Amino acid sequence: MTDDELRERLKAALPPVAGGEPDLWPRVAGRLEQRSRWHWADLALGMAALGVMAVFPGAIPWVLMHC
Amino acid sequence: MLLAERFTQGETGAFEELFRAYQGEVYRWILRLVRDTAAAEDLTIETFWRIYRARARFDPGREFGPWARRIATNLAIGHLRHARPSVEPAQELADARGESAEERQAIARAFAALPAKLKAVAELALIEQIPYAEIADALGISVAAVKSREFRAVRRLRELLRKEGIER
Repeated sequence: MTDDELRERLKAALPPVAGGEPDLWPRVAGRLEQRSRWHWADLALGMAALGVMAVFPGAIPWVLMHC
Repeated sequence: MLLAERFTQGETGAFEELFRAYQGEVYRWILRLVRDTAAAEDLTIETFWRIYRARARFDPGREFGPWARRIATNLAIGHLRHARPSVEPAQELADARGESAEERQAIARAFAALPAKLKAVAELALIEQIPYAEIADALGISVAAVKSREFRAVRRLRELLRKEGIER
């Protein structure tokens, strides 16, 4: 089989996949919005860090180092 | 201010404009590579998500399309590495050359068995016949490297077709 024959047989065996063009913006926008919102876990971590600093002021440099 | 500059500064409206201008091109490019509409949709979204996160690194003086295409290609190849190869069921009728459905299916199976990097080049260079320079740009490699991958893909395909009893 020549290279050209191989190419033609590949094209015949693997025709282009038909696919419309879906509007994907709503899904991307949803992801952007999700990212900009504070997650409850972020808030909980922030509160915990503040709590540690209030109870153990000596730990402030350590907490800041890990922020 | 230029659209690309507004985008690099994080303006969501500018990002949406760029998305709407390029999503079709990016989606079709990915669909060519992965041959799966659902995966192409997910990868298009992931591509633009990565573009958005990397906006500060984008040089507004450069073209947006090739940059997007390179990110899309990397993601598509990553997908091909992990995706289970799927082969469409054979149609009953023989084609114009008299090639049977089983033969076409065997060829599709051999193609699906190629390693991801070779499959991507085989799809773009052999099937789609996209110019080497364009493929090289999308893959972030030299034209010589594209030709080398194409050569290896053809050699591997011939081996696989021999096993299928098609190539002698």
